[in-house]
Amino acid sequence: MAVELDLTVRPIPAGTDITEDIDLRGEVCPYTFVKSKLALEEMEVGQTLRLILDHLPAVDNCPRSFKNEGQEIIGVEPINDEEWAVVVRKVHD
Amino acid sequence: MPSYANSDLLVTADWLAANLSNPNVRVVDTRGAARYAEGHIPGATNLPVARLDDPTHPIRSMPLPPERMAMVFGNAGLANGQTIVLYDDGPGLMAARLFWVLEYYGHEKLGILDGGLARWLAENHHVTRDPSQVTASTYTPHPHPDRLSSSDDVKAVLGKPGVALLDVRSHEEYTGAMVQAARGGHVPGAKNCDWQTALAGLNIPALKSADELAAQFAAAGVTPDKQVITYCQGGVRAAHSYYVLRLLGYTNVSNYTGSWGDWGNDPNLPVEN
Amino acid sequence: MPDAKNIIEVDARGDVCPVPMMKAVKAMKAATSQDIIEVWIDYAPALDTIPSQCNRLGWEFRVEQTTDDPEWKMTLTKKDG
Repeated sequence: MAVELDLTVRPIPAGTDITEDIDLRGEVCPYTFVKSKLALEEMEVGQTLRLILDHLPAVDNCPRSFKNEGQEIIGVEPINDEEWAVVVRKVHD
Repeated sequence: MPSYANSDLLVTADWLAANLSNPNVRVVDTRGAARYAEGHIPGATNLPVARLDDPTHPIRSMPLPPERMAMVFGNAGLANGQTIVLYDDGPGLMAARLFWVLEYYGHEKLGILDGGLARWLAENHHVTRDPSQVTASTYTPHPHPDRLSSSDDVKAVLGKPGVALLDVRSHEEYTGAMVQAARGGHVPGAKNCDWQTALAGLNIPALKSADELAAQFAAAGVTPDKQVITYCQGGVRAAHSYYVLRLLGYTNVSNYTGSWGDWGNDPNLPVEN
Repeated sequence: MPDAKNIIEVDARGDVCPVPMMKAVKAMKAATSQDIIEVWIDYAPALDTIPSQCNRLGWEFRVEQTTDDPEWKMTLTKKDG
Protein backbone atom coordinates (compact mmCIF):
# COMPACT_ATOMS: atom_id res chain seq x y z
CA MET A 1 0.00 0.00 0.00
CA ALA A 2 2.46 2.67 -1.21
CA VAL A 3 1.09 6.07 -0.28
CA GLU A 4 2.56 9.55 -0.69
CA LEU A 5 2.74 11.19 2.70
CA ASP A 6 2.28 14.90 3.21
CA LEU A 7 4.97 15.86 5.73
CA THR A 8 4.89 19.62 5.10
CA VAL A 9 6.25 21.47 8.10
CA ARG A 10 3.91 24.07 9.54
CA PRO A 11 5.96 25.66 12.31
CA ILE A 12 4.33 25.81 15.71
CA PRO A 13 4.37 29.53 16.64
CA ALA A 14 6.80 30.33 19.41
CA GLY A 15 5.07 30.79 22.75
CA THR A 16 2.06 28.61 21.84
CA ASP A 17 0.51 27.46 25.10
CA ILE A 18 0.32 23.66 25.23
CA THR A 19 -2.37 22.41 27.61
CA GLU A 20 -1.48 18.74 27.34
CA ASP A 21 0.99 16.38 25.70
CA ILE A 22 0.19 12.89 24.53
CA ASP A 23 3.06 10.48 23.92
CA LEU A 24 2.15 8.31 20.96
CA ARG A 25 5.66 7.00 20.24
CA GLY A 26 5.48 3.36 19.23
CA GLU A 27 1.84 3.65 18.14
CA VAL A 28 0.68 3.17 14.57
CA CYS A 29 -2.49 4.03 12.66
CA PRO A 30 -5.28 4.05 13.56
CA TYR A 31 -4.39 3.99 17.27
CA THR A 32 -2.54 7.31 16.92
CA PHE A 33 -5.76 9.00 15.84
CA VAL A 34 -8.05 7.08 18.22
CA LYS A 35 -5.96 7.85 21.30
CA SER A 36 -5.43 11.51 20.44
CA LYS A 37 -9.10 11.98 19.60
CA LEU A 38 -10.14 10.42 22.93
CA ALA A 39 -7.70 12.71 24.74
CA LEU A 40 -9.15 15.75 22.99
CA GLU A 41 -12.68 14.64 23.96
CA GLU A 42 -11.72 15.10 27.60
CA MET A 43 -10.41 18.63 27.08
CA GLU A 44 -12.12 22.04 27.06
CA VAL A 45 -12.77 24.12 23.97
CA GLY A 46 -9.81 26.44 23.44
CA GLN A 47 -7.25 24.06 24.95
CA THR A 48 -4.38 22.61 22.93
CA LEU A 49 -3.09 19.05 22.66
CA ARG A 50 0.40 18.22 21.43
CA LEU A 51 0.83 14.77 19.87
CA ILE A 52 4.33 13.26 19.98
CA LEU A 53 4.57 10.84 17.05
CA ASP A 54 7.25 8.66 15.54
CA HIS A 55 5.06 7.02 12.88
CA LEU A 56 5.17 9.04 9.65
CA PRO A 57 1.77 7.96 8.26
CA ALA A 58 0.24 9.36 11.46
CA VAL A 59 2.06 12.69 10.95
CA ASP A 60 0.37 12.77 7.56
CA ASN A 61 -3.14 11.74 8.50
CA CYS A 62 -3.81 12.86 12.09
CA PRO A 63 -3.79 16.56 11.15
CA ARG A 64 -6.06 15.87 8.21
CA SER A 65 -8.51 13.85 10.32
CA PHE A 66 -8.71 16.57 12.94
CA LYS A 67 -9.13 19.29 10.34
CA ASN A 68 -11.89 17.30 8.63
CA GLU A 69 -13.92 17.37 11.82
CA GLY A 70 -13.40 21.07 12.38
CA GLN A 71 -10.53 21.22 14.88
CA GLU A 72 -7.63 23.61 14.34
CA ILE A 73 -4.11 22.49 13.53
CA ILE A 74 -1.68 24.96 15.09
CA GLY A 75 1.42 23.31 13.69
CA VAL A 76 3.23 20.20 12.50
CA GLU A 77 7.00 20.07 12.93
CA PRO A 78 9.82 17.59 13.53
CA ILE A 79 11.31 17.45 17.02
CA ASN A 80 14.34 15.42 15.99
CA ASP A 81 15.29 12.71 13.48
CA GLU A 82 12.62 10.31 14.74
CA GLU A 83 9.85 12.36 16.32
CA TRP A 84 7.28 14.87 15.23
CA ALA A 85 4.96 17.19 17.14
CA VAL A 86 1.41 17.93 15.96
CA VAL A 87 -0.46 20.61 17.90
CA VAL A 88 -4.29 20.65 17.79
CA ARG A 89 -6.54 23.28 19.30
CA LYS A 90 -10.00 22.15 20.33
CA VAL A 91 -12.47 24.39 18.52
CA HIS A 92 -15.67 22.54 19.36
CA ASP A 93 -16.90 19.64 21.46
CA MET B 1 -19.95 -0.73 -7.81
CA PRO B 2 -21.58 -3.88 -6.49
CA SER B 3 -21.61 -4.05 -2.72
CA TYR B 4 -20.75 -7.12 -0.67
CA ALA B 5 -22.98 -10.15 -1.04
CA ASN B 6 -23.59 -10.27 2.73
CA SER B 7 -23.52 -6.52 3.29
CA ASP B 8 -25.56 -6.90 6.51
CA LEU B 9 -22.35 -8.12 8.13
CA LEU B 10 -20.82 -4.64 7.75
CA VAL B 11 -22.55 -1.96 9.82
CA THR B 12 -22.10 1.75 9.10
CA ALA B 13 -21.45 4.31 11.82
CA ASP B 14 -24.57 6.21 10.76
CA TRP B 15 -26.77 3.15 11.14
CA LEU B 16 -25.29 2.38 14.53
CA ALA B 17 -25.68 5.96 15.73
CA ALA B 18 -29.35 5.80 14.78
CA ASN B 19 -29.81 2.47 16.57
CA LEU B 20 -27.93 2.97 19.83
CA SER B 21 -31.20 2.99 21.77
CA ASN B 22 -32.69 0.09 19.86
CA PRO B 23 -33.35 -2.63 22.49
CA ASN B 24 -32.75 -5.35 19.91
CA VAL B 25 -29.23 -4.13 19.14
CA ARG B 26 -26.30 -5.01 21.37
CA VAL B 27 -22.98 -3.23 20.78
CA VAL B 28 -19.88 -5.05 21.98
CA ASP B 29 -16.45 -3.49 22.53
CA THR B 30 -13.97 -6.33 22.05
CA ARG B 31 -10.90 -4.57 23.49
CA GLY B 32 -9.27 -5.01 26.87
CA ALA B 33 -10.79 -3.34 29.93
CA ALA B 34 -8.20 -0.54 30.10
CA ARG B 35 -8.86 0.72 26.57
CA TYR B 36 -12.64 0.37 27.07
CA ALA B 37 -12.34 2.60 30.11
CA GLU B 38 -10.59 5.33 28.10
CA GLY B 39 -13.62 5.79 25.90
CA HIS B 40 -16.17 3.59 24.16
CA ILE B 41 -19.35 3.79 22.16
CA PRO B 42 -22.25 4.72 24.49
CA GLY B 43 -24.13 1.63 25.63
CA ALA B 44 -21.43 -0.79 24.46
CA THR B 45 -20.65 -3.70 26.75
CA ASN B 46 -17.07 -4.82 27.10
CA LEU B 47 -16.19 -8.39 26.14
CA PRO B 48 -12.37 -8.64 25.77
CA VAL B 49 -11.51 -11.38 23.30
CA ALA B 50 -9.09 -12.95 25.79
CA ARG B 51 -12.18 -14.16 27.70
CA LEU B 52 -13.26 -16.35 24.79
CA ASP B 53 -10.38 -18.82 24.95
CA ASP B 54 -10.35 -22.01 27.02
CA PRO B 55 -7.28 -21.85 29.29
CA THR B 56 -7.55 -25.57 30.06
CA HIS B 57 -7.36 -26.67 26.43
CA PRO B 58 -4.01 -27.81 24.98
CA ILE B 59 -4.70 -25.78 21.83
CA ARG B 60 -4.03 -22.21 22.79
CA SER B 61 -6.84 -20.43 21.03
CA MET B 62 -9.68 -22.93 21.31
CA PRO B 63 -12.91 -21.21 22.30
CA LEU B 64 -14.55 -22.17 25.59
CA PRO B 65 -16.93 -25.13 25.45
CA PRO B 66 -20.67 -24.36 25.03
CA GLU B 67 -21.75 -24.22 28.68
CA ARG B 68 -18.91 -21.92 29.70
CA MET B 69 -19.24 -19.76 26.62
CA ALA B 70 -22.95 -19.39 27.34
CA MET B 71 -22.03 -17.84 30.69
CA VAL B 72 -19.50 -15.45 29.14
CA PHE B 73 -22.05 -14.33 26.54
CA GLY B 74 -24.81 -14.09 29.12
CA ASN B 75 -22.73 -12.02 31.51
CA ALA B 76 -22.01 -9.59 28.68
CA GLY B 77 -25.73 -9.19 28.13
CA LEU B 78 -25.85 -11.06 24.82
CA ALA B 79 -29.13 -12.77 23.88
CA ASN B 80 -29.94 -15.06 20.98
CA GLY B 81 -32.33 -12.82 19.06
CA GLN B 82 -30.27 -9.65 19.23
CA THR B 83 -28.48 -7.96 16.39
CA ILE B 84 -24.94 -7.84 17.74
CA VAL B 85 -22.55 -5.18 16.44
CA LEU B 86 -18.86 -5.69 17.20
CA TYR B 87 -15.99 -3.22 17.12
CA ASP B 88 -12.44 -2.50 18.22
CA ASP B 89 -10.15 0.48 17.75
CA GLY B 90 -7.93 -1.00 15.08
CA PRO B 91 -8.45 -2.71 11.75
CA GLY B 92 -10.98 -5.16 13.18
CA LEU B 93 -8.90 -8.14 14.33
CA MET B 94 -10.55 -8.42 17.74
CA ALA B 95 -14.01 -7.75 16.40
CA ALA B 96 -13.49 -10.46 13.78
CA ARG B 97 -12.36 -12.94 16.41
CA LEU B 98 -15.59 -12.52 18.37
CA PHE B 99 -17.52 -12.51 15.08
CA TRP B 100 -16.13 -15.94 14.26
CA VAL B 101 -16.78 -17.29 17.78
CA LEU B 102 -20.38 -16.04 17.64
CA GLU B 103 -20.92 -17.61 14.22
CA TYR B 104 -19.35 -20.82 15.51
CA TYR B 105 -21.91 -20.79 18.30
CA GLY B 106 -24.72 -20.16 15.85
CA HIS B 107 -25.53 -16.50 16.27
CA GLU B 108 -27.35 -15.25 13.21
CA LYS B 109 -27.68 -11.48 13.34
CA LEU B 110 -24.18 -10.12 13.50
CA GLY B 111 -22.12 -7.32 12.10
CA ILE B 112 -18.84 -5.48 12.45
CA LEU B 113 -18.71 -1.69 12.60
CA ASP B 114 -17.15 -0.41 9.38
CA GLY B 115 -13.95 1.42 10.30
CA GLY B 116 -14.38 0.57 13.98
CA LEU B 117 -13.86 3.16 16.66
CA ALA B 118 -11.50 5.15 14.44
CA ARG B 119 -14.22 5.90 11.92
CA TRP B 120 -16.80 6.44 14.69
CA LEU B 121 -14.53 9.14 16.10
CA ALA B 122 -13.57 10.58 12.71
CA GLU B 123 -17.27 11.05 11.93
CA ASN B 124 -17.71 12.93 15.20
CA HIS B 125 -19.94 10.46 17.01
CA HIS B 126 -19.92 10.50 20.78
CA VAL B 127 -17.93 8.30 23.11
CA THR B 128 -18.22 7.93 26.84
CA ARG B 129 -16.12 6.70 29.73
CA ASP B 130 -19.12 5.59 31.76
CA PRO B 131 -19.27 1.79 32.04
CA SER B 132 -22.50 0.50 30.53
CA GLN B 133 -25.18 -1.06 32.71
CA VAL B 134 -25.34 -4.67 31.67
CA THR B 135 -28.25 -6.90 32.53
CA ALA B 136 -27.06 -10.48 32.44
CA SER B 137 -29.11 -12.58 30.05
CA THR B 138 -29.45 -16.21 29.05
CA TYR B 139 -27.62 -17.29 25.94
CA THR B 140 -28.19 -20.68 24.31
CA PRO B 141 -25.28 -21.62 22.06
CA HIS B 142 -25.96 -23.67 18.93
CA PRO B 143 -22.53 -24.94 17.81
CA HIS B 144 -21.77 -25.16 14.10
CA PRO B 145 -18.79 -27.54 14.10
CA ASP B 146 -18.17 -26.95 10.40
CA ARG B 147 -17.01 -23.40 11.18
CA LEU B 148 -14.05 -24.57 13.27
CA SER B 149 -11.37 -26.86 11.89
CA SER B 150 -8.96 -29.04 13.82
CA SER B 151 -5.62 -30.37 12.59
CA ASP B 152 -7.41 -33.67 11.86
CA ASP B 153 -9.90 -31.81 9.68
CA VAL B 154 -7.07 -30.16 7.78
CA LYS B 155 -5.10 -33.41 7.46
CA ALA B 156 -8.17 -35.08 6.00
CA VAL B 157 -8.38 -32.60 3.11
CA LEU B 158 -4.71 -32.26 2.19
CA GLY B 159 -4.35 -32.45 -1.57
CA LYS B 160 -8.10 -32.71 -2.11
CA PRO B 161 -9.54 -30.84 -5.07
CA GLY B 162 -12.34 -28.46 -4.19
CA VAL B 163 -10.63 -27.39 -0.96
CA ALA B 164 -8.66 -24.18 -0.53
CA LEU B 165 -6.28 -23.87 2.42
CA LEU B 166 -5.57 -20.20 3.02
CA ASP B 167 -2.55 -19.14 5.08
CA VAL B 168 -3.14 -15.49 5.99
CA ARG B 169 0.15 -14.83 7.74
CA SER B 170 2.99 -12.66 6.48
CA HIS B 171 5.13 -13.91 3.62
CA GLU B 172 8.07 -14.50 6.01
CA GLU B 173 5.97 -16.70 8.28
CA TYR B 174 4.54 -18.61 5.30
CA THR B 175 7.95 -19.40 3.79
CA GLY B 176 9.52 -20.24 7.14
CA ALA B 177 11.89 -17.26 7.07
CA MET B 178 10.24 -16.32 10.35
CA VAL B 179 9.65 -19.31 12.62
CA GLN B 180 7.14 -19.11 15.49
CA ALA B 181 6.83 -22.79 16.41
CA ALA B 182 9.10 -25.84 16.53
CA ARG B 183 9.10 -25.79 12.70
CA GLY B 184 8.66 -23.05 10.13
CA GLY B 185 6.80 -23.10 6.84
CA HIS B 186 3.18 -23.78 5.99
CA VAL B 187 0.60 -26.52 5.64
CA PRO B 188 1.30 -28.42 2.39
CA GLY B 189 -0.86 -27.06 -0.39
CA ALA B 190 -1.84 -23.88 1.46
CA LYS B 191 -1.66 -20.62 -0.48
CA ASN B 192 -0.59 -17.35 1.10
CA CYS B 193 -2.74 -14.24 1.15
CA ASP B 194 -1.75 -11.91 4.00
CA TRP B 195 -4.87 -10.85 5.92
CA GLN B 196 -3.85 -7.22 5.57
CA THR B 197 -4.29 -7.32 1.82
CA ALA B 198 -8.03 -7.11 2.51
CA LEU B 199 -7.54 -3.60 3.89
CA ALA B 200 -7.82 -0.54 1.68
CA GLY B 201 -6.48 1.78 4.33
CA LEU B 202 -5.23 1.80 7.88
CA ASN B 203 -5.59 5.49 8.74
CA ILE B 204 -9.29 4.98 9.12
CA PRO B 205 -9.60 1.23 8.58
CA ALA B 206 -11.54 0.24 5.49
CA LEU B 207 -11.95 -2.91 3.46
CA LYS B 208 -11.29 -3.13 -0.26
CA SER B 209 -14.21 -3.43 -2.67
CA ALA B 210 -15.95 -6.74 -3.31
CA ASP B 211 -14.44 -6.96 -6.80
CA GLU B 212 -10.89 -6.33 -5.63
CA LEU B 213 -11.20 -8.83 -2.80
CA ALA B 214 -12.68 -11.49 -5.08
CA ALA B 215 -9.78 -11.04 -7.51
CA GLN B 216 -7.17 -11.30 -4.75
CA PHE B 217 -8.72 -14.44 -3.31
CA ALA B 218 -9.11 -16.00 -6.74
CA ALA B 219 -5.40 -15.43 -7.36
CA ALA B 220 -4.79 -17.56 -4.25
CA GLY B 221 -7.09 -20.29 -5.50
CA VAL B 222 -9.92 -19.27 -3.18
CA THR B 223 -13.31 -19.20 -4.91
CA PRO B 224 -16.88 -19.53 -3.57
CA ASP B 225 -17.35 -23.05 -4.97
CA LYS B 226 -14.63 -24.42 -2.70
CA GLN B 227 -14.44 -25.43 0.93
CA VAL B 228 -12.14 -22.81 2.43
CA ILE B 229 -10.10 -23.18 5.63
CA THR B 230 -8.24 -20.14 6.93
CA TYR B 231 -5.36 -20.26 9.37
CA CYS B 232 -2.57 -18.05 10.75
CA GLN B 233 -0.49 -18.41 13.92
CA GLY B 234 -3.19 -18.34 16.59
CA GLY B 235 -6.53 -18.04 14.84
CA VAL B 236 -7.11 -14.29 15.12
CA ARG B 237 -5.88 -13.05 11.74
CA ALA B 238 -7.55 -16.15 10.32
CA ALA B 239 -10.81 -15.00 11.92
CA HIS B 240 -10.50 -11.67 10.11
CA SER B 241 -10.09 -13.42 6.77
CA TYR B 242 -12.98 -15.72 7.69
CA TYR B 243 -15.09 -12.58 8.24
CA VAL B 244 -14.06 -11.05 4.92
CA LEU B 245 -14.99 -14.26 3.09
CA ARG B 246 -18.36 -14.33 4.85
CA LEU B 247 -18.89 -10.71 3.84
CA LEU B 248 -18.25 -11.77 0.25
CA GLY B 249 -20.98 -14.39 0.58
CA TYR B 250 -18.94 -17.53 1.22
CA THR B 251 -20.87 -20.17 3.13
CA ASN B 252 -18.37 -23.05 3.23
CA VAL B 253 -15.58 -21.49 5.27
CA SER B 254 -13.97 -22.36 8.59
CA ASN B 255 -11.19 -21.15 10.85
CA TYR B 256 -8.46 -23.64 11.79
CA THR B 257 -8.10 -21.84 15.09
CA GLY B 258 -5.15 -23.89 16.38
CA SER B 259 -3.31 -22.60 13.29
CA TRP B 260 0.48 -22.72 13.10
CA GLY B 261 0.88 -22.76 16.88
CA ASP B 262 -0.79 -26.17 16.66
CA TRP B 263 0.43 -27.53 13.28
CA GLY B 264 4.01 -26.24 13.48
CA ASN B 265 4.56 -27.78 16.91
CA ASP B 266 3.29 -31.25 15.98
CA PRO B 267 6.20 -33.30 14.58
CA ASN B 268 3.78 -35.82 13.08
CA LEU B 269 2.29 -33.28 10.67
CA PRO B 270 3.85 -32.47 7.27
CA VAL B 271 5.35 -29.07 6.56
CA GLU B 272 6.11 -27.29 3.30
CA ASN B 273 8.60 -24.42 2.87
CA MET C 1 24.38 -0.95 43.09
CA PRO C 2 26.49 -2.34 40.22
CA ASP C 3 24.30 -5.42 39.68
CA ALA C 4 20.95 -3.65 39.84
CA LYS C 5 19.00 -4.30 36.67
CA ASN C 6 16.62 -1.94 35.05
CA ILE C 7 13.06 -3.31 34.66
CA ILE C 8 11.24 -2.45 31.46
CA GLU C 9 7.51 -3.11 31.57
CA VAL C 10 5.66 -3.98 28.39
CA ASP C 11 1.91 -4.15 28.81
CA ALA C 12 0.39 -6.12 25.96
CA ARG C 13 -2.82 -7.01 27.78
CA GLY C 14 -5.80 -6.59 25.48
CA ASP C 15 -3.54 -6.95 22.43
CA VAL C 16 -3.86 -9.79 19.95
CA CYS C 17 -1.57 -11.27 17.34
CA PRO C 18 0.82 -10.01 16.18
CA VAL C 19 1.04 -7.05 18.58
CA PRO C 20 2.34 -8.82 21.73
CA MET C 21 5.21 -10.35 19.78
CA MET C 22 6.00 -7.05 18.06
CA LYS C 23 6.04 -5.13 21.34
CA ALA C 24 8.36 -7.74 22.88
CA VAL C 25 10.71 -7.62 19.88
CA LYS C 26 10.83 -3.82 19.97
CA ALA C 27 11.69 -3.91 23.67
CA MET C 28 14.39 -6.56 23.20
CA LYS C 29 16.00 -4.63 20.36
CA ALA C 30 16.12 -1.44 22.41
CA ALA C 31 17.31 -3.10 25.61
CA THR C 32 20.74 -4.05 26.91
CA SER C 33 22.02 -6.79 29.18
CA GLN C 34 21.38 -4.39 32.07
CA ASP C 35 17.67 -4.58 31.41
CA ILE C 36 15.00 -7.08 32.42
CA ILE C 37 11.87 -6.94 30.29
CA GLU C 38 8.53 -7.89 31.85
CA VAL C 39 5.83 -8.52 29.27
CA TRP C 40 2.20 -8.82 30.37
CA ILE C 41 -0.06 -10.72 28.00
CA ASP C 42 -3.52 -12.22 28.04
CA TYR C 43 -3.35 -13.67 24.53
CA ALA C 44 -2.37 -17.35 24.70
CA PRO C 45 -0.74 -17.75 21.26
CA ALA C 46 1.88 -15.20 22.34
CA LEU C 47 3.18 -17.90 24.69
CA ASP C 48 4.62 -19.44 21.50
CA THR C 49 5.45 -16.38 19.43
CA ILE C 50 7.38 -14.43 22.04
CA PRO C 51 9.69 -17.33 22.99
CA SER C 52 10.45 -17.88 19.29
CA GLN C 53 11.63 -14.30 19.02
CA CYS C 54 13.62 -14.60 22.26
CA ASN C 55 15.49 -17.56 20.79
CA ARG C 56 16.21 -15.59 17.66
CA LEU C 57 17.42 -12.46 19.48
CA GLY C 58 19.41 -14.16 22.21
CA TRP C 59 17.11 -13.68 25.20
CA GLU C 60 15.90 -16.12 27.82
CA PHE C 61 12.32 -16.17 29.02
CA ARG C 62 10.36 -17.30 32.02
CA VAL C 63 6.56 -17.48 32.16
CA GLU C 64 4.40 -17.04 35.25
CA GLN C 65 0.68 -17.06 35.68
CA THR C 66 -0.13 -15.10 38.80
CA THR C 67 -3.95 -15.30 38.80
CA ASP C 68 -6.63 -17.75 37.68
CA ASP C 69 -7.32 -15.50 34.73
CA PRO C 70 -5.64 -16.20 31.41
CA GLU C 71 -2.98 -13.59 32.08
CA TRP C 72 0.74 -14.24 32.01
CA LYS C 73 3.92 -12.39 32.87
CA MET C 74 6.92 -13.22 30.73
CA THR C 75 10.26 -12.15 32.15
CA LEU C 76 12.99 -11.74 29.53
CA THR C 77 16.70 -11.53 30.29
CA LYS C 78 19.54 -11.24 27.83
CA LYS C 79 21.68 -14.34 27.43
CA ASP C 80 25.32 -14.00 28.34
CA GLY C 81 27.93 -14.19 25.59
